[in-house]
Amino acid sequence: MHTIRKFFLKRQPVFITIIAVALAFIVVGFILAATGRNPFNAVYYFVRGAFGNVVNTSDTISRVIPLTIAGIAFLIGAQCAVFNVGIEGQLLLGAMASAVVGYIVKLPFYIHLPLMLLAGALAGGLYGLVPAWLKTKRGVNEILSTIMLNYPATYFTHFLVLKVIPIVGVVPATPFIEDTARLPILIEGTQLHAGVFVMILVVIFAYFLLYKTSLGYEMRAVGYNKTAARFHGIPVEKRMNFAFFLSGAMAGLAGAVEVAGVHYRFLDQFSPGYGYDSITVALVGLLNPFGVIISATLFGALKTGILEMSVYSGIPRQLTTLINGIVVLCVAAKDILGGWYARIFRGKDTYEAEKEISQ
Amino acid sequence: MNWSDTLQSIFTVTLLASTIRVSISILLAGMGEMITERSGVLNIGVEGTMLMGALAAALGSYFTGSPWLGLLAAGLVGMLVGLLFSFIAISLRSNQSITGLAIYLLCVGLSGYLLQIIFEHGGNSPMVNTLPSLHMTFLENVPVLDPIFNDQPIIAIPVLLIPVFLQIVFYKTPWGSWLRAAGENPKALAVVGKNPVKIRYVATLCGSFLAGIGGAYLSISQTSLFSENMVAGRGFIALSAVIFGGVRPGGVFLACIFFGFMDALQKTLQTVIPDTMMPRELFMALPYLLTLLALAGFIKKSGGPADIGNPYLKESR
Amino acid sequence: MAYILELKDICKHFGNVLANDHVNLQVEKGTVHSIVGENGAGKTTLMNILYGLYKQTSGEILIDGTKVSIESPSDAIRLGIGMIHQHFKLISAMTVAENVMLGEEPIKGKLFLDLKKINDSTLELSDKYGLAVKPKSMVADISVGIRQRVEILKALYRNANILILDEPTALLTPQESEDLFRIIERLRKDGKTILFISHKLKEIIQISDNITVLRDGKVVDTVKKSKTNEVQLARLMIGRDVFLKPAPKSKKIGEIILKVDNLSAVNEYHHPVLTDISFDVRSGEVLGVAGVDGNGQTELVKALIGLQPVSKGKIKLRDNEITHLSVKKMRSAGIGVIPEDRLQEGLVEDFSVEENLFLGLQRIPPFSNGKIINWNAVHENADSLVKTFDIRTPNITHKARLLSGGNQQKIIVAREIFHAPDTIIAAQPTRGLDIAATDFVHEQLIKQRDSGKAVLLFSLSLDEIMLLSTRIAVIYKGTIVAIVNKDDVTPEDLGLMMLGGSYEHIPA
Repeated sequence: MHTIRKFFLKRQPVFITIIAVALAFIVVGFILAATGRNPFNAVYYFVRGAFGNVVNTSDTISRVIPLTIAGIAFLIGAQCAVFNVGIEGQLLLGAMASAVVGYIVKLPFYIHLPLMLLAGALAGGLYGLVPAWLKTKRGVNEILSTIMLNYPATYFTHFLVLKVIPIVGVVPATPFIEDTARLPILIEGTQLHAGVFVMILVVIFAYFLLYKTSLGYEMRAVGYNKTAARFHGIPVEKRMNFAFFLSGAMAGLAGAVEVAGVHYRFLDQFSPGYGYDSITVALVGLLNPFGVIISATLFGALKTGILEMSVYSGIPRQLTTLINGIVVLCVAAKDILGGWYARIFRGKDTYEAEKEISQ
Repeated sequence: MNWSDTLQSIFTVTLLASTIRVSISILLAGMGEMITERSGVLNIGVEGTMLMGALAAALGSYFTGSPWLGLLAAGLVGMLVGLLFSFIAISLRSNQSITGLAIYLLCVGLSGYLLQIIFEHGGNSPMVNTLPSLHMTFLENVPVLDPIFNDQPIIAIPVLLIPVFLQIVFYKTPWGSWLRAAGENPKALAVVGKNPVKIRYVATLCGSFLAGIGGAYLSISQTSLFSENMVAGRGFIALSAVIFGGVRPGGVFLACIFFGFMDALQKTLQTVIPDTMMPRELFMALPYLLTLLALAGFIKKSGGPADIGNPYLKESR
Repeated sequence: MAYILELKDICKHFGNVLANDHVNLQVEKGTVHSIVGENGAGKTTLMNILYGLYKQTSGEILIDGTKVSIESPSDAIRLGIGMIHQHFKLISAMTVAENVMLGEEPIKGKLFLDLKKINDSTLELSDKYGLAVKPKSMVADISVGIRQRVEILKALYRNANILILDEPTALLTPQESEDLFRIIERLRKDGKTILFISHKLKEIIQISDNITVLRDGKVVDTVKKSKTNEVQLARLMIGRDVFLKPAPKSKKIGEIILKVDNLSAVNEYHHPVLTDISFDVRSGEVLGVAGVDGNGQTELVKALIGLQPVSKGKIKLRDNEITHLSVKKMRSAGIGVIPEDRLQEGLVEDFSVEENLFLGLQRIPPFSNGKIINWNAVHENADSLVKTFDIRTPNITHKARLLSGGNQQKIIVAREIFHAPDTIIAAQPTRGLDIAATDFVHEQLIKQRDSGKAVLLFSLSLDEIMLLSTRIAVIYKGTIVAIVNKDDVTPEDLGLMMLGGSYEHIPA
């Protein structure tokens, strides 16, 4: 009994999160049922859509890529006390910058591809510096500023494909990027592309930065306690600005990878809300780089699954955002679950005593 | 082009009238959020609450035929959303910012989802009955006042009076004292036998009620239908106005009117300046940029409640 | 004689921990009854039960001989119990009168606050007990001593007959304490009953009628003032004979290490917070900085570590000028700091013990090569410091948040001392620690002094200043008003200087 308790206690945050997410999906099931849709039917189409065959599965994986990179973007900010809700806008600008670099020049692929990805990251990063300035110099709440900065980014890219860059085809978009700027497809006939390696690199980079370097240690110190960080010689504003930049750059990179691996151009409204999903992905991933891959897989499956679901069972695609909201809500409320959890696995008395001491 | 003519065609009394029209929803949400923040609760989900209010109003008006019942429905649905927020942010003491964000996402998703489920076709609801406008005969021959205030939506005038009402409540009544105390130092309130949790709940519910009404104004007064994401950032602009206005009725009122004026100006400019000179898409980005600019020019930290954003933990069990 | 308050067999469990163990207490009407004991003896728990903040696990409370049930502060207020908390529960953004009336405001016209009556009643009440409080002042603008009187007014306004004062002199100067005692005396004469919680034996002997000693949650004894003395009380309290003894004298005072010259600074509103501060600290001595809270101590500490911009003057460490350097550079020049707010400034609570043990040192060997962290060195360092400084933690990856205050403070002391700066700035290093932990911190500071370092001690406790200092600097309104040898002053002298030498007692 003791070892079992210990096992569950040590992994408390993981299990709590799983419980919270499960709870969220039960709530979603009830909403479906209450609005006259069969939740079990929905699950069937969902699973079929996400993993039904090779094509669907690889499509799911191809959605895990932007979700993971964007999730890392949110995570890097959040670990340094920066709540970057502007990932959607940074991702759009990054995608646009990389698309422009992709079609405007033709270079050897080993220069062109890195260059276009870099352009995306740089665009996103620079846009991330706007809320950074607002926060560290002017004290503007970054949740508010980043969320509002999504609007200008959307309108601006919309304006570019509509009125500045020549329109090709029926949908507003930039011209196609050169072959040399594309990430190769890994499995013929699917959307699974080499961006998966970029994703893995990004995850390892984030882990290495946060847990193995002095810079990352300082960022985490700022994230937990700015005052203490300041008292111990860590330049808090500088680190936060860097986190804003890096977070924006990762968001821009996510957009660039989508352009280079999936659409081969900037397509107006191509992002199905990856930027907003990234928040959920990062929070469910417990702000841990490897956790983000796992949670991105869940939400990637959700993205592809819901497409099929909306076609066959008449469930609107808006369900994705709804699920996001409910999941974040449940994850936000997980502390109370933590209380119950600790009571179960630690014994009520010990729990009460510890709570008393911690006050 | 003759510049003085252009300027004259921009700055007219019509611009002021339209300022009032576009300010109403921001004003309602801003006043509501101000009440909430005074009690020490930061609700970032106002945008979502407004969306749900807008949908509820359209549905209420559509199914009953009465826009007034729609308005009521919007307020009640707003309170329901507020209740959910309060439960998680106040009772469970979760992080208020993240909870607010979740509420926003949830409401965006839920309003879109319900719209599809109920009307089963793209982005809009059918047309619904709207609230009447208010014609005041005694103003008919008064210059300036007549074009500005006459024939405004019926809820406009009462809404313009809310700041005065709140100023009195905040600073001249015991409830105002308790509300402010809950936001400044809830423990001080608890030791004199008042329950800060209850006060924060009431304040959040009042705030959400007003936000719901603010949403309703968009769907059953300013337009006559609900469309997906129709609040379009007004909730966030209202949040900015609360900060900009120093969480005080007068200040927040002026900030809301200022942002409303910017929006009205932007709309007027769109009609006056040709698209080739300044494209429509860039105009549409203006209100958000101006709001951020206003916040950036604002000297940080002035007079907000001391305990905002912190969950209140009772000392007893 | 009838008892106004009687506690019978009060027990309070927190899980397995027994905070109050069959506590029996009888309080006579119109007396000052002190409850003494060490931190953790159960005093505060007991008072919180009495005030309805906790519910006792078992036992009875009797008021005027009638059994009562106290579920919340409202019940306590209704039964005539008022509490003056150690940490005041006041709203800085409101006036004194608004604070006094909060929750029970006089109303006119059924809806509106009667502001005139609010101010008048407060003034009336204040005059009646000689509290000399101005109703219309903002709480943010008044001193600690006056704030405490506002708390007393709050209780009186609610018709409290039993007043609980929880460590009321912890933040007061000797003069302010004297005033408080005079107020208590007046209240007692008026028939009020005072429950006085403290661990300062001298003042307890001075003002109490009866004294109850708690230890480990149990009542050890209740004695009459006339039949006891400090030595006996201390023995009862601690269970053995211990006293915080003055530190042995400095052995060898050497050269000047830290020198501050005409240092001035302003706050963000351009008001001066430090004016022409000059002092030096030599190798092998402790310079104690005495002062009432809020007279510039916080700013001075911050200026010395580079967090408070300096408008004028110089800071020199040995022969290097370090004024205007960044925090990082000042600290690597040789300044170590034990910050006054342990949880906010000293630690990152969500970091593990080992991560906290190299906070601020993350870019220097052996912990890193400036970029990449050497986790092996971090583990080794943590293992050895945990052993040397006796930090009680299950393991070095345990979160600092989960440790007791004393052990958290040991982490800070260990980190700052071990990494051997020339100067150690200790700001309120023992605030909230129990006697054993306090003793440990004192011992460590004296050890550093004797190893030839310069120690600058900021403390609000005059006792601590007197115990440890070689010399004492008195800070008042952002300036050093005197620097004296410890042996040349009495606490009373210091107290007077801490108030600018022009303090007026309220008349007895």
